[in-house]
Amino acid sequence: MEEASLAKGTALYDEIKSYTGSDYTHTDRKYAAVGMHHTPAQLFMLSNRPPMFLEPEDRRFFVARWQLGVVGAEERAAYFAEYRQWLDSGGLEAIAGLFSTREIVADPYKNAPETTEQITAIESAIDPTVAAIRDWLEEHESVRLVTMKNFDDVWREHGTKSNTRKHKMAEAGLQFYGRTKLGDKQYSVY
Amino acid sequence: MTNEMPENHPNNVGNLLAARFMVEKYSGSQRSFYDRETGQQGLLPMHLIGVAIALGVEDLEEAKKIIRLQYFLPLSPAIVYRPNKPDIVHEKGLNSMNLWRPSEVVPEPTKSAQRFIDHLQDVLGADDGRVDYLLDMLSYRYQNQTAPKPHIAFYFFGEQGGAGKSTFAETLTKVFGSTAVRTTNTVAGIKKRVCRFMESNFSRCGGGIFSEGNGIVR
Repeated sequence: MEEASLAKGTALYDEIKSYTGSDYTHTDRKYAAVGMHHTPAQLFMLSNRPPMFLEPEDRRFFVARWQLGVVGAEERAAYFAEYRQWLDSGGLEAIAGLFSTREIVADPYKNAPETTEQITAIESAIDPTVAAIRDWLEEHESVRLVTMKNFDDVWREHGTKSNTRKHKMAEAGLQFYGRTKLGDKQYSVY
Repeated sequence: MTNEMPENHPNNVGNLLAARFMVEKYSGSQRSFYDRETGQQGLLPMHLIGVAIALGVEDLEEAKKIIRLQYFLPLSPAIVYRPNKPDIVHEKGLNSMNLWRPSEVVPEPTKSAQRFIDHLQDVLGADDGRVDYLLDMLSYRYQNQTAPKPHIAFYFFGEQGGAGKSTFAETLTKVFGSTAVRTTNTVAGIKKRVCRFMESNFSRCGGGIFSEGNGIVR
């Protein structure tokens, strides 16, 4: 999956949050008006990279590293050959049997248990807009005062709504300095 | 020519056709049919004629007449997802196509699934309850396919390839059934699946995940 498209603060992440956290959504059916529709899907994401989009309060995701301790290509091939052989010779039916009879202990409607991978992922999650602001500041080290206008390219590239821009700037470490007249306009300066 | 149904054949061709085919739409006076057996849509009377002949009608004109006079149930354009219900569901007087189909894998609780548990412990670790949590959540979905979904998403990652993530996805697809699990490897695929599998055909939608029991993005 294109993880880069699923960064914190992106529209796609918001959509995934919304579909994971609610059972119904409003959308328009073909040839019909917008209506409420059921979204019973539960999401599993399998990736080569840790998630870079989790928000600090996000308890929707159960995050865990998936790795096999078996080293060496031949040993791995043998491991999976044996496992697949088991799956194909009644293993799938046994798994279905397990799922159908297992006594469930966890409360499926409670928050997912926290894992060390999740804590690490939350700490390292960076909003791409904030990252772009930081990049701009690094490239313009000599600039000490900025206005929102300096980041017009960033807003455009990330589709940042005007009412969230000052928060993104604050998250990038900029502090509000005051308002001052530049040319014929009053600007907020950071 | 009379408008009376030809005498019933020994194998009751008209009723057999009516049990298998449903009218999905009219274009002018032409009907098109949905085949419950093969899942084909857009079939025309000429296709049903072929089936009638295969069922034993010897005369072409008689086959045409059977199809013309036989009553076929109408199929609503809505597609629904109703686990554990038949291929056509009757709701509020309408017959709708059910996207869900039973899995081909039949549960065998007497067989040991320890190899699967061992494999999950190999990849997730055996010591802190992760495997138990995953098994609980999967079992809950398996046992309660019509219950509201838990608001939990799973994210498994491993830098190293060849650790069995794809095998895991394939396993769930087979166990839950191919209509209950959808996989995609693109962002566009996520949106497409929401559009396709919510409850009908959507001309556009805001994106999201899937609609069935379990979705897998890899």
